[in-house]
Amino acid sequence: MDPNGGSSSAGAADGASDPAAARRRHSKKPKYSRFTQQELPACKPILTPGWVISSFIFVGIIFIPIGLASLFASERVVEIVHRYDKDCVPASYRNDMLAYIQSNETNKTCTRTFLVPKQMKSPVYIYYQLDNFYQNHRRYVKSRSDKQLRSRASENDTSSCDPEDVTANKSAIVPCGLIAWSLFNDTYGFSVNNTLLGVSKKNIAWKSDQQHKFGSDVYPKNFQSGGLIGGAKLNSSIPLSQQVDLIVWMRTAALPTFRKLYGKIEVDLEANSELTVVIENNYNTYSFGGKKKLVLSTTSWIGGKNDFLGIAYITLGGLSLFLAISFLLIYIIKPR
Amino acid sequence: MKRYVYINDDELSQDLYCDNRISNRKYTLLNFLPKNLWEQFSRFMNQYFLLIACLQLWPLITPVNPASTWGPLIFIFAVSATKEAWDDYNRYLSDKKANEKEVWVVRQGIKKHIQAQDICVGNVVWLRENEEVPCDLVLIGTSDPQGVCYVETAALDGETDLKTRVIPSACMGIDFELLHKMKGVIECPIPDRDIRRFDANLRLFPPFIDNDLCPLTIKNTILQSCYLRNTEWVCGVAVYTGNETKLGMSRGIPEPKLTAVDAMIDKLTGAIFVFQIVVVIVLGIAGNVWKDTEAVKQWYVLYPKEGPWYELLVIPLRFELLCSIMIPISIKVSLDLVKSLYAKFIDWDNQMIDQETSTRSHATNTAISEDLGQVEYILTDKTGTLTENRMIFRRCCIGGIFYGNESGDALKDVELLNAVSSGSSDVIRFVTVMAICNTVIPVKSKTGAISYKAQSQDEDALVQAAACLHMVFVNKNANTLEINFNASIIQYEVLDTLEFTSDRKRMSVVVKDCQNGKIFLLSKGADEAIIPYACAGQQTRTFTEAVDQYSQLGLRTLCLAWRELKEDEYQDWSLMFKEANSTLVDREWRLAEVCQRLEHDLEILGVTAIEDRLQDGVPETIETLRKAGINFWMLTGDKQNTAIQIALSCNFISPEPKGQLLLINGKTEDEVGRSLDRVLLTMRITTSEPKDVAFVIDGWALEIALKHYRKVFTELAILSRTALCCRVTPSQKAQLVEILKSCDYRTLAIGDGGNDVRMIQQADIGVGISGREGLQAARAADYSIGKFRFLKRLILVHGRYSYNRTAFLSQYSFYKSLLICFIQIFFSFISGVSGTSLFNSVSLMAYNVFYTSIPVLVSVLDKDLSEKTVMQHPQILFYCQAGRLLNPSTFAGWFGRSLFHAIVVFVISIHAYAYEKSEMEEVSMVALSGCIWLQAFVVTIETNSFTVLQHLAIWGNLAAFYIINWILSAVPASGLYTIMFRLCTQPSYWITMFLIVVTGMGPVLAIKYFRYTYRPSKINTLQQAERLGGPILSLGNIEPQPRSIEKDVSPLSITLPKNRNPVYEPLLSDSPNSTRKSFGSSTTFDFFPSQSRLSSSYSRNCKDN
Repeated sequence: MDPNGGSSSAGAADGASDPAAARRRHSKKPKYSRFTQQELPACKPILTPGWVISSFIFVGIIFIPIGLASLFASERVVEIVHRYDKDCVPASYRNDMLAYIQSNETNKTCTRTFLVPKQMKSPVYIYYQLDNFYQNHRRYVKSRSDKQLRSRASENDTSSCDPEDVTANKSAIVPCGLIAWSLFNDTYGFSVNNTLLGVSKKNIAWKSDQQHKFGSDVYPKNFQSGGLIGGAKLNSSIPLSQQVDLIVWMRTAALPTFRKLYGKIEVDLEANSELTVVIENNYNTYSFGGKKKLVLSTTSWIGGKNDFLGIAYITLGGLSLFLAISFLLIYIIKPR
Repeated sequence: MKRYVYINDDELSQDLYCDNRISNRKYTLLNFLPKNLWEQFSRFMNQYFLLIACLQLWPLITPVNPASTWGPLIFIFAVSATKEAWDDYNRYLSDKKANEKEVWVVRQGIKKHIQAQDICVGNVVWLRENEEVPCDLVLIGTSDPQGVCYVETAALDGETDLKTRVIPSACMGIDFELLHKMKGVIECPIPDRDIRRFDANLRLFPPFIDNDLCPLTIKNTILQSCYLRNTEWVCGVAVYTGNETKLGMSRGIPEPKLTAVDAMIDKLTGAIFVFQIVVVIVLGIAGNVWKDTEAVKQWYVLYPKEGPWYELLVIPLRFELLCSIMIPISIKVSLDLVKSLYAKFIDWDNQMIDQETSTRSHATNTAISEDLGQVEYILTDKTGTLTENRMIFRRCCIGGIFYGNESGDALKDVELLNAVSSGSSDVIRFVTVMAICNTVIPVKSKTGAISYKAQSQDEDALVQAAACLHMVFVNKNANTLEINFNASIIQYEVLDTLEFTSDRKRMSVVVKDCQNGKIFLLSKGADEAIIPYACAGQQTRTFTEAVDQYSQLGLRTLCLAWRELKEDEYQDWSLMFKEANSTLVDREWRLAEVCQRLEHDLEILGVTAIEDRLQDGVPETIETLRKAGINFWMLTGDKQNTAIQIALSCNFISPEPKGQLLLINGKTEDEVGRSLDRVLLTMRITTSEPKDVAFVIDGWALEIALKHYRKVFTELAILSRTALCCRVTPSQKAQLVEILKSCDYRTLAIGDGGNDVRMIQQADIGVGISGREGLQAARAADYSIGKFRFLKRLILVHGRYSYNRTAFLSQYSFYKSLLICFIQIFFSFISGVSGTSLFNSVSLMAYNVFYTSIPVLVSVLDKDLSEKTVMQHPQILFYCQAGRLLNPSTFAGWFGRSLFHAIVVFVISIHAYAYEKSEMEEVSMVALSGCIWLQAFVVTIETNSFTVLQHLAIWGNLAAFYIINWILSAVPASGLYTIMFRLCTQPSYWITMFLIVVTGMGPVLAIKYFRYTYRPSKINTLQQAERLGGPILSLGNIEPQPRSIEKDVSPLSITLPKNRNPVYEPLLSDSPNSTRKSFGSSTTFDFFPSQSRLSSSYSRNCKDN
């Protein structure tokens, strides 16, 4: 057995280099440093009862006010949610809603009225809410071409858009892909106390999207021209950067229940005023049993109406205080 | 098969055999890439990553950009390949250096200077003193008229003494000039690796003497990589060259060592892999079902009616890719990185520098530092490891008078000096024997100073001591010795040397005083080999007493004796001796018998006592490591008595009545068997008593035990915490390591000499002491240290910290990968089980490679306890040995934590960002930042000590996360464009983050606090004591007790020694009933509980307080 796993050569090399190596070791001898000696000054906290209990109390004291504030903000938001998918189908079609929505002959217009429960300060945001709609489905979410949307030069960059990439005669669809193809196409007209309300579409899409993600020189082409019509059609004389509904729609939702901004009402809605909505009920959610809801909402610093954060904060704050107190009690009864 | 070597025949053998080019290289330029890749891909983890990376090339199924896997993969491979290439290049360089060394070789009858690599078989090679032998040579001539030369074979067998080699009888007396023209043939075996055998024949061609066959043995060869010493020149015929030399044949690259931690990580990886497959199958089926029932209704998804044939596979494969991050590719990189840093810390450690020689400690193997913290057995060499291997003559007893008892140094004892100068005949004779009864060769340097070349350190010590007593051994010329006594030269003629053998235990010389022609027999040897042969009438009691007294002090004793021989007695004997010397059968035995005839009626002169000093701090080190629960075995080539003495003096074993030594001896199979059984029985009985029991076995008995009673011996090995193995050979040392390893113990072998190399390579961890016996051991070892006492620091500080840190780092790596993977899995439930990735490729890659790696890397600076505390309470090492910090149950804890955190992050993200806020990129960034925040706090809560660097890494990383994402958010082309700016201006984002942190960390903190206060582990107790400055609560009796034997635990079959159950401890809790395991019935030797020892010996740790 060779001790070195080497050979005469190794022996020779080592023999020759030993003094040299020793010298090298010397010269390389690092100066005393706290890092190399693993002696960097360190603070070593330990979990003392005082420290732990006070941090829980601290969390409790901080969290409950924040929770209350959030909850309060959320409560102040006035929100009207109105489901219309079922109600907008005439009674004769109730048993076959799919036939109703897919037929070209049926009258899709539908008028709904409801009361405004509280005063709604402008701007009042109009959302449509879809339930059970999987915008996050892998096949769906990938079916778009950001390059194509951005510039005219990449018009034919449709490889990722399958199956809505090209028309039957192989010319590119702009905008391509399933997302654009399934664009939401219900429309709403509002009137309050029989006065027509204007719906502003200004600033409903992200500015950054309009400026950088959707080209101002890209115009819809071959869109919804195939055999299968998905959703809304686009005016092919308006560039994509101005197609705000499309831009909003193309910001895909992460959850199967989502709201998308439809527009804004720029006037205050008084309490108990009667709001009439004329709905063009075109979009097919009936095939998969998805709900469609119309949502009118004001906003607050925390966003729309969402009690989750407030409740979670209050619960957590309470729990922290409870834990702190019980730790304290345990500590008093049995210090160790 | 034979090889015929024609001496000096340039034409014949040139092409037949390989040239003398040495090659240790693994690769060539051409095969490097394929061979290296093949090697790397033979590892399971790498195959897995490659498969994942290849699958990602399929756009239909990949959730992320393939670059996110290919990038790190290529990086990892490039790093390993570069390292390999560098190592190989260095090997190439050192080979080249050896190959291009110039040597003198006879070519066409003329001496030529050629490169070593051009030596052919059959060439006559000339070497000068202190040159290295370039290939295996058969001697044909030396400068010595007797045909003798000396070689140092340390590189071969690790023995540092000089060995004599002689030229074959046929070549005796051939003239220096004629050697050039010598012709002949050597018939030798084909190359093999046996360095102790060379059975060959030499036939010289006319005109060189007769045509007789001359037998050759290993004595007639000098082998590659030996050094020529004390001989002006030699010449020899190359018989084996290049990689076919004895050394080349036995060369082997030692297997890479795998630490227990690595093995555990591999195991856990396997478990995660299985889990991943299950997840993939379940989700794959669910996905396909959802697709067939739901997706067909979702018209906007536009599923084709008829899919391709592989359609069923698409969704499972997508999930496979989505879940592939469960096994983090970063773990390999991070572990390699921190491991090399552990090694650096060892190299840098100022407290492990040997001040005398200013040698630093060095970690050659950078991959196994964790194992140091898990050592259960230390097998140590004695000489040079525990002792300094510096023999010093300390005391003597001459003619019943003790010298050196007061001062502890006889050479400073005035009485002795007076006795020498006054010419007391006993003393003079004694000193004369010291000076000349040996095989030492004095070498005069140019300055006139005399140095001695001795085969044994003891002889060297005696000669040196004699020189101090004015009896200077000046010169040895052929058979004449010159001694300078009080400035007068005395000459002796050496008539015969009766060599030392381990059976005879003595050596003698017969010398003739040149002045008066008197013939003397001078002997020295072990007491039992000398005192019985004292001449009738001499009182030997004082000598026996002296020997006992010196032995008690741990000194090595030798008895010196002499006898005047009558001329005719010597002549008679001389004839017999010559005859015995030339017998071919049983020569050794015959010689011993003949020597016996002369060595009797000795007049005993006195006893010498030589000290081989213990190294500083050896007893303390052994005691501390003992306390840490490490068992010690001493394996020494030395004799039993010395070994026991040293063992006693360094706390290795305790003296009676506290300790008990059990001897295993015997010369035959039966004797050894009986002895073993008896010892085993005693051992079992005494295990219940608090007694230090050790067994002692010698090499011979060990050989038999290993051959015939392996099972019994293994059981004994398990029962015994201490063992002394004397007179063991290097291969036996390795076998002992092998036995302990087969019982699944972590072994550490420490030694300093070449004879320890095999044991060092065999053990899980090899530590070499760069000592006086050269650097062999240090070079072969994984760690080299200057002194034995550094072992304490190496294990308790470096080993322990390394283990703790790696345990945290590896589990944390899985935690963070699982965290993000669980979120992806949850997300798939709300995305139609279609395999959508919530996170984008950039975030995923950065999460694994960057955001979560940096903070945890600084955990290499973490110290749970200060070094001082660990040194004071070595028992705490138990947590590492038992693998308490990294085992399936702690891992389950981390698994649970990642699941909990994933739920927290996911649920809070999708609720806080519901409805109008549920934009994909935003939700994804909210969830991702939630993970980053949580992991920062997890690292914080798991860190025991915060240095600046840790704060910098943890909080800096958090800041870096935002900065990087802000930068990304400023790039219009990226998917993240403006997202982070948007989020950071929303109050609800920050509120969500705080919610995630508090919900995620609150319970963790509460549980940790509760355990820490009410169920503290020993580590926690020490932490509290250390930091609060309070009294250190009694750690209880962590001192390992003898193992108890219980019969209620089902024993483990010996055939499954690997199935040692890891210690399943409820996480961090030390419940009394946990892991009390012990031996099964030990009456049958088919079974032995290989797994249980440790746990049983430690179970009591858990139940104090």
